[in-house]
Amino acid sequence: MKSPFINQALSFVTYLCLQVLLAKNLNLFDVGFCFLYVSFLLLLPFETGKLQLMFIGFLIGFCVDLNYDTGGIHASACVLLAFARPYITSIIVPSGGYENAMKPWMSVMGSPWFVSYSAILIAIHHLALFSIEAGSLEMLPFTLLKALVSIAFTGSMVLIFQGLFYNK
Amino acid sequence: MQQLLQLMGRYRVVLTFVGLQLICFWLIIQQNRHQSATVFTSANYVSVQGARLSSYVTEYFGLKQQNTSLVAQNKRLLEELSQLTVSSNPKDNVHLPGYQFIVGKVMNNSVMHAENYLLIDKGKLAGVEPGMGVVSPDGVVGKVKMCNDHYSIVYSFLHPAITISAKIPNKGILGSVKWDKKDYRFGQLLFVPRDIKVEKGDTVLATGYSSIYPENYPIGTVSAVSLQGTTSFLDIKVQLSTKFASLNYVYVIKNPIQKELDSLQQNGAPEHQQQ
Repeated sequence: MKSPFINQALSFVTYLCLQVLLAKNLNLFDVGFCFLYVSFLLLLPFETGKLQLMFIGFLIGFCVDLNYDTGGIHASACVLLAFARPYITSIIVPSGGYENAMKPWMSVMGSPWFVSYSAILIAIHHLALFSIEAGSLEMLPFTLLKALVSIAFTGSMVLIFQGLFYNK
Repeated sequence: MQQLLQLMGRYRVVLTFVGLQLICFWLIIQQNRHQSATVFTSANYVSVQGARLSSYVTEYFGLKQQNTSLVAQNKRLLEELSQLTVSSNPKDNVHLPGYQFIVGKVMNNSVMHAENYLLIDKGKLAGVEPGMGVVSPDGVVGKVKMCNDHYSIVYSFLHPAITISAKIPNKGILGSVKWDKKDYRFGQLLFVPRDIKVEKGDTVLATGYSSIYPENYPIGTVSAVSLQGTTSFLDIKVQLSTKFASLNYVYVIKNPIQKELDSLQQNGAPEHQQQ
């Protein structure tokens, strides 16, 4: 018997290590970054409370910040993602509605739902992240370019992880 | 009172959201302040262990490049040594102590952010102090931001806070070099008047005026020159000699007479203002 808490804690540590040791070194055309760790926040169970979600978001963002030397930029973007998640799940409802014991996985919810769900939330996270990092409108086109390429990069990594490791 | 509590209960999600965001922004501001505590940075124990593991693995991928640049540096050092032996004048008995170099290994490095930092494995115990210059075998790297006993965080040249005074020796041009904030391979040479002829391929070197970097230490080469509208300065793009994406070892420069220079400049400043 594994408790769900231990499962989530293990997944937290795994995503953090993947981010810091592996994904940090990945880079697409010098403008695309991979922030795979947001996948952890996307995949937390539907039952997770709104407050809980935000505190977990803050925690993982803060841990990533420690390794990127970025103060609280990731934490801020993650809290925003966690804040927005319940609203997004209430806007995009699968055709049969939500059922008990559903998980926000692609294999459970189907790919159309999961792709739109992850794309919206990753976009929110990345746009917040890059605009806070830029700190001004001076380099707006370049910031947007970085954000867009990174959204595509992180998004496809999240989908690949779904296909590889998250079967029913 | 009870109504207030009810109200807070109803808006607890939004309130928590705002509260957490405030903490985040406090952290961001804290990070940007100079010389702040090293607790909330990558110099903390756990992150350092992670970075150590990561650099232990990636070190092998850069061995060949590392060798090439070390050989090149050796060559340059030997050349300088030979020049010194020829030109040193026995009558000149005023000897200024030269620069000392502290070798540091890069544990953590970024080139893609708007503000980039390096983490190196030498700190106060090895003699590193905030404000010291950092160079690689190929060219200038940055300036030490803060240190704890064993590690230091260094402003990369790829950080808006870093400006280096520079010259193009064969043209007698002085200016400042700054990162162009976009591409980690390029910087800009600023404050060169538009009537001066600068050509592609000219070498840009440190002036040594601030005595943080040795005089004539390489910064880069001019890669493009253009004139923009009615500004009185040229727009010069400089290809940096340091390969920031593959930094492995750096030298922290210790200038034994830096303190004397600083105090001299500080004492001189008030008089200058009075004029």
